[in-house]
Amino acid sequence: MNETNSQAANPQATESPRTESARGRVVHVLRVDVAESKDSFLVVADLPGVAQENVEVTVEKNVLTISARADARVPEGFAHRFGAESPIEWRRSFTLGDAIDREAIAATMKNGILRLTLPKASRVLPRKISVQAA
Amino acid sequence: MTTRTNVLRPRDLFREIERMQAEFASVFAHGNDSYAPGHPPVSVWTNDEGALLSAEVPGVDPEKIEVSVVGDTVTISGSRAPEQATEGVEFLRRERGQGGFQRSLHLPFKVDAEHVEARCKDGILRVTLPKAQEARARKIEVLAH
Repeated sequence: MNETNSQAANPQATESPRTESARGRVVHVLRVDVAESKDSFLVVADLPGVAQENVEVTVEKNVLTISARADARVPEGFAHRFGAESPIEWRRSFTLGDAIDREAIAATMKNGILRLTLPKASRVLPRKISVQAA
Repeated sequence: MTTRTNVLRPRDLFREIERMQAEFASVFAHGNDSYAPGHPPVSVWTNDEGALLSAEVPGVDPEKIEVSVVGDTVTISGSRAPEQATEGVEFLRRERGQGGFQRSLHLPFKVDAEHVEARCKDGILRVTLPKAQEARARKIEVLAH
């Protein structure tokens, strides 16, 4: 893994613009697994109880931000007894290295798990140049 | 929480303390949940008919979740497999927890174990726990003699 690639998952690069929420809620840091293969990065995050439409993945300049909200799970006609009840929000930002193809980033949600695939740009992938006979 | 006013009227004080307690509780319930997969956050609601339990179990195969009820105690357990590193894939960070979990909760009443229902959707396990017949309030008619 070279220096450029390592920027994609640089732990120091999280939490970029420190914008405060005026909603008076706690915003949790999203915990992630990050994996790298020959041609892409994979980011996996736990988002229990989050509907697909409540996940937002944005890329602004070189900062990728994941924000998500799980609605409060208040069942009707019941009194709250134990545990958390308020809506939960998560957020996390990553600085993308030049190696990532911004246009090809894809995200899927399943079973409360978000999976982001960040393909490497073709120009950084190893290429074999065939030698032509002159 | 720096934007809150420092002047509190006495009747607001208790509300404020309650709010802070709730906030602390939610931070501890969720702030580190991924580091403690053995202790998934659980919430419980009750009414006259019984209780509802919800637990955060993202990425856990519903077939690997077990719910058991003995008397007034409900136990949920299961496990989640780590993300598989396939050929040529290297993990750079692993912050999400993995492995087994188990939580037991005492409910304020005996549960009708025959009619417990559990469903799993979007990584949330929801268990419906109806009150046992003997635990339900019964109205006793007073006879005049």
